[in-house]
Amino acid sequence: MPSKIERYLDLHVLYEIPIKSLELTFGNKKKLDLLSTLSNGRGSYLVFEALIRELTGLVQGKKADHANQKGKLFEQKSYVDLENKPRNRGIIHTGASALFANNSGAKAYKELLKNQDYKEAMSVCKKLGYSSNSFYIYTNTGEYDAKIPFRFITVESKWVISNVEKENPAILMRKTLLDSIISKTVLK
Amino acid sequence: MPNLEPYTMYEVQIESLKLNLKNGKSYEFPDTLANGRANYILFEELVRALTGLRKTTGSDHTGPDGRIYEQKAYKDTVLYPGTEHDLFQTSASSTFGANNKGPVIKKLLEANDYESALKICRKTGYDKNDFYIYTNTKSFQPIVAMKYFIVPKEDVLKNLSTTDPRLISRKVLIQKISKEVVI
Repeated sequence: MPSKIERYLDLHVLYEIPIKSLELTFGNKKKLDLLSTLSNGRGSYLVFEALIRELTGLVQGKKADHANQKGKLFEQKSYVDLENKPRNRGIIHTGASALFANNSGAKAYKELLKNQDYKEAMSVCKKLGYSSNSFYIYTNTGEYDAKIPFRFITVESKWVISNVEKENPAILMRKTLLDSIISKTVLK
Repeated sequence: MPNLEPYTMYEVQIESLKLNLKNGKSYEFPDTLANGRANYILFEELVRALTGLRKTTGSDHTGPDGRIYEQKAYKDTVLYPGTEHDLFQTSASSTFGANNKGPVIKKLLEANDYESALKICRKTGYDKNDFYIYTNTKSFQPIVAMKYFIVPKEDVLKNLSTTDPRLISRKVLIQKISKEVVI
C-alpha cells in the first residue's frame, strides 16, 4: 500500500476549509443534506476525525485517534469556535475523556483537584494521554455550525503540558490555543 | 403524515454518505454509517425526513398531533442472521448503563422480580412514548437497504422478552409486518 503524503500538519498553523454539505445519496439518486447533524458532537466526531485523516494523510491510530507513518500518535479534540459562539467560555477538554465522565473513573482525579494536588493531577493526565500522544489536533467542531469553515490546529504534546490550566491540567483554554497561532492557511 | 403506517416495513436504499467541501472535493465516510455511537443521529434525521416527524426533547420524534415516537435500532436480519442477534434493546438507554439503572435492573432480574424491573423500564421510557420506530441500523452496512417499521407502544409492552423487559425480539416483531413499501 503506498504511503500517504502527510501535509497540513505544521505546528501552530490554523488551517481552514469551508464545508458545503453532508450528503446522503439514496439508491434512486435523491439526496438528503444532513449537515445540521454535525452540530451534535456525539455523532459528528467520527466524520471530523475521518476528515482530518483525508486532509492530512494521517491514518487511523490504535492507541490514539490518528498516527503518522513514523508511528507518532495524534489525539483530536474539539473546541467551540469563537465566531460560532462568542459567549462560550472557551474551555477545551484536552485530557482523556475519562477525566470528565460522571462516573467513578473521574472521581479520583476530581478528588486530586479538590485537594489541590495539581502535580499528581498532571501525572494522571500524562498517564492517560499527554505522555503517549506526540501531538494534539484541535478542531473548531464543538457545537459546530457549518456556516463557519472547518478549522484545525496541530500542537505538540509538550506544548499542551506547558499550557494547560494549572488548577486543572485536563483543561486548555481556547484563548491560550488561539494566541499560539503563528499563521493561517485557507485550503484550496 | 407519510410513511408512518404501523407494521409496514419501509425501505430505502442508501448509496453513500459524502462530506462535500466548498472547494469541490468530496470525501465518502462509510464507517460513519456503521458506527452506532455516531450513526443514530444520522438515521434519526433520515427518519424525520422520510416521515415528516419533528425532533423533540425527552424522546426522539413527535408528530403534529403531539404523539411521541422513540427510535431504536436492531441488527438487520440479512447482515446478522444468527439467533444471537435476535433480542435487542428497546427500553431507555439509562436502563443499561453501569453508572445508571443497569445494575438495579440486573439485580431485580436475578431475584426474579420481573415486575419491578418492568416498572423501571415503563417509568424511564415506555410510559413516555406512543410509538416505537425500529430501524435495521445497528452495525449498519449500506449493502442492504435501510429499513424501518413502527409499532404502537401497547404492542411493544405485550411482546417484550419474558426474561428481560428491556429487550424485544426482532423475529417476533418482523413476523407481524403486513406490508412492504420501497420509498
